[in-house]
Amino acid sequence: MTAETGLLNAMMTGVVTGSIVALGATGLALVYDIAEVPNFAHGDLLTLGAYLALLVNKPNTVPLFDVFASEAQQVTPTGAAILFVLSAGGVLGSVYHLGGVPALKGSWWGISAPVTLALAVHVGIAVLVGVIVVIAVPSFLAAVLFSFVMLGATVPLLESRIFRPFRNKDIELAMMLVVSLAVAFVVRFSIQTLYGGEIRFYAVDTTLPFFGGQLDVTMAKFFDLFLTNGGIFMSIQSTRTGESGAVAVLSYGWIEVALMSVLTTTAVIVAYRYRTTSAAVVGKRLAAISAGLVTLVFSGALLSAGVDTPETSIIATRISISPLRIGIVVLALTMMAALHYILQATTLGKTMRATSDNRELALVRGINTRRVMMSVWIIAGLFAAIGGTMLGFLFNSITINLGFNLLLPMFAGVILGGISVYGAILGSYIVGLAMEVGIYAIPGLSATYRIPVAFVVLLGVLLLKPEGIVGGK
Amino acid sequence: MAVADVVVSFLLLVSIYGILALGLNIKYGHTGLLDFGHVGFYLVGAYTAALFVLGPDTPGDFTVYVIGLGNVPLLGTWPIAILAGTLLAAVIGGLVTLPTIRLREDYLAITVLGISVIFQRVIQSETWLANGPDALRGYSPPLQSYFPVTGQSLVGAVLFGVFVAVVWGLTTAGFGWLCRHRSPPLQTRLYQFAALGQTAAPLRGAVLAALGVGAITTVVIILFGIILPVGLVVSIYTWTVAVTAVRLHYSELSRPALITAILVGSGLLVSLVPLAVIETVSIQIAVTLSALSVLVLSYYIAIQRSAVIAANRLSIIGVGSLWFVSIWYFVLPLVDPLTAGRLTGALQTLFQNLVWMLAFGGDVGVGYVIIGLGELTVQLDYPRIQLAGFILFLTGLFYIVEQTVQTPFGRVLRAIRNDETVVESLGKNPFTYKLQSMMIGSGLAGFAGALWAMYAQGLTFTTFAPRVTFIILLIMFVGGVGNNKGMIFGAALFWAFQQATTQLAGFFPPAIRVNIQAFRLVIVGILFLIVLYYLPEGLLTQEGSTTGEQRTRRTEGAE
Repeated sequence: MTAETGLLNAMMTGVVTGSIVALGATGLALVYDIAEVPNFAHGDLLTLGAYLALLVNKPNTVPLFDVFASEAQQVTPTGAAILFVLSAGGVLGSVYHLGGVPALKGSWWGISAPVTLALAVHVGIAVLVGVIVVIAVPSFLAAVLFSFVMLGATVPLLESRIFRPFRNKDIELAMMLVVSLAVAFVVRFSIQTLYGGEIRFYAVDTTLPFFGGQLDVTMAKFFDLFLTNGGIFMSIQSTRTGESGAVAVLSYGWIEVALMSVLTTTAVIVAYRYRTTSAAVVGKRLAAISAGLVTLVFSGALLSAGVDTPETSIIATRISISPLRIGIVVLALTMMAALHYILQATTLGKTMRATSDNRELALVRGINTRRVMMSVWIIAGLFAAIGGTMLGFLFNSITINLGFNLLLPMFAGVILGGISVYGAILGSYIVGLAMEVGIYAIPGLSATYRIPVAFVVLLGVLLLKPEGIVGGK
Repeated sequence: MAVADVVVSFLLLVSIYGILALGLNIKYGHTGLLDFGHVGFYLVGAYTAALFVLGPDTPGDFTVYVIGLGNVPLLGTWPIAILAGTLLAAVIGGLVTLPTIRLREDYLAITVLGISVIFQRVIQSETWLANGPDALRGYSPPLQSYFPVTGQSLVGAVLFGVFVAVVWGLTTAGFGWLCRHRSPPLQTRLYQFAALGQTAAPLRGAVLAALGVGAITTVVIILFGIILPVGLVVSIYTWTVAVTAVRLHYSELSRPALITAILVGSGLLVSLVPLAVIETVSIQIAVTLSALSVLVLSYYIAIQRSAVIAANRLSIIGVGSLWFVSIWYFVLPLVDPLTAGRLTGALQTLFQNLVWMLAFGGDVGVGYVIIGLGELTVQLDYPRIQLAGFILFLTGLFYIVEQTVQTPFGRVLRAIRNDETVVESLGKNPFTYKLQSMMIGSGLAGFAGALWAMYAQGLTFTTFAPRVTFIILLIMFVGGVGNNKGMIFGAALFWAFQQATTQLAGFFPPAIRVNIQAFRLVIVGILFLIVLYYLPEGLLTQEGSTTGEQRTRRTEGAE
């Protein structure tokens, strides 16, 4: 029985879509929750990140900047100087938003450090980033770094110049939504004014060296799973024409399967009990899940026997996925882990959680809520930069509506989960799964209905629980 | 195309968007329901009306749609189609409200936005429904086959009489309202003549006068066929009333303020001259932008320095804009013929723009030879009668909405907007009122959609994007939330800006047209932010709103 893509494939694609949505929804939820701005412009911030990366990746295609590009993807010394100034300025600007000139002198550090040391560190990092960006032109990673620091410096300007004055006028939440809608239009059409309407794409070399051979990260691989009388088989096949046969075959007899289950369950229970006493960054559930996954992977690697693909099977299914998409999932999980670390283990994170809970009480307690707001926007900008560039890379096309198309699923995810960071993560994955599995499961539904499916799910959840799954104050 | 035709199409768009804005005003301005999916009901109204008047779908051709009632005797006509579009939009508005009514205001906004996107996607993907991603065409607006009208047939004469009646009636109604409120002596006598000697209330007097004048016109056209003199007389009448209205409206402006206003208007004109004169794109943009910045900056400084200007700053901008528009309408079209040395051409253009009621040129029409102007062909073309119909609809709906707003029903709506708990404590169920408000607002949007179907003669799903809701929101906030007159004013402002920038974009090379159009929306967004921050009540509040509780508040303050 040959393997065809089925429900499992739809679910994997849903996880990938959910990760993409989560990259944006996290920043959106942060700002929505702590700064109380339903930021309709967040999608366009992703677009901004994607377009800014073009300045480094393909400088000769950017209008007004292409005078500084000498040939395809190289910059003249003037152009390099401009990029250096912008990158260094981006780093220093992000730090500046944390409290003005005193922040540059180290006031935002948790410890009291001498002024010269703080200044030296900040300037040093700025110079380092600038040098990296300039030297590594036109590398895609340098472009992402450039976009990263630029958005970190410019996104908080939205807060200080636009949203804070409106918030000081005590306007209602719906009006803030309208204001952010206006900001979204300004951002999106400013980008279009400069770049014009054509579709662009990054110039990235997608092959990486991998275990002796070359791996093209954008080419999908087939993971075929077979459930037979003898056990579970998994074979990894390449989709490139000319390469036939399996890249790897893993098979597990029933004994091995039982052994793996026992090991994993033991690891989960042990980790759960072990972390009962301390509630730090890695809590009970996280420890249990991580331990279980690690044990599963290790025992799977160790216990497999390589045999041929089985002829007959009870169930056969196929997952088609490329290393790039797996990388996106890993990247999203890493960034969420980093955010989780910030929120749980750093003072900044603690002040963020306090401000989100009750802003007046946080003020009373002496927390600098203005700095908390700015740092929230900086983090949102950083996430938007990564999200936007990855989105442009993944879809191999950068258009004006790149971020806006993702905005509705992002909002659906944020609202679904209740307006909090963890809720948004959960909601994004539910939305991603709903979008893909919904299209798969409902016969006759064409792919343009992905966003409507997400909204139907959102509507369903809101009917039952109007505050969202995790939410409710 | 004469400038008058540009103004006619401008007014058509203003009517459609004015009705849309009135609908959103009911939902948000009066009941506090922020509806980001307003465009969804616009879509429903447009497609329903189109499907009602389309002939049955022939399987062989390139268009596919589910049902075409065009050949059904009573159902397939435009009045029923418009009614069907309105009702279906209202019903769907109610259905959408049912699950979303308990949601917080921002959740409601986003959820309804999602629903409107669902509607758009359904139209896009379901090819069997309304021709899928392609345009739905193949129907024609009502009465189009009779136009252009030259007055030589009976039907033509009647149609011409109808047009004159509508124009005369609306102008006289406005004139009567003005005279009643300000009572200038000279104009009152003109009004008595125009209203055929009646002293009844402005509205009824205007309607009767309109009918009378229409009948007279029809008879005159049938007997003599003199559409140009009739058109001239009526056009001059409308210009007189317009000038009177402007003068009365701004009568309190002192001389310095007037001079400042004329300077502002002329300054705007001067700063736009480089666009027409200079060839290089970058220098064009640089000079124009710097001139505009100088203008804005100097006006800002003037507001800071002079108390008189600061007190009247919006009126000054208003008068300045009117001055600019007058120059654009009357003087600028003469520049081309005059520089080419054709005096008669210039006079012809001036005459054409004066007699805006009739269309000039074209192969069908009545020919006239006038001393000093040369030969002219004159007819009444279809957009003008369409304009008469649309403005009638707009005025009628505006009147209905105004009346509704001042009833106890309207007061409950505004109470819900301010505080729902109070309404509940008084024993009224806010749910039913919100439902009714959404249905009325969505019905208005559906009506506007049907009018759009009539105007555009072809529907594509890309027209009904969320961008339209943004524009309606902009119109609503600029005009004044809750202020019905403000809706029409906001729509007029927006489309004036659109038309102006489209004409300006014509000076730039086609390669950067996309960029210029994007820049236009950037300006719109920035102006929106400025209005939201500095004038959250909208631009028309100083003129006095028409909501009932303003009057009660004033009487309470007087006691």
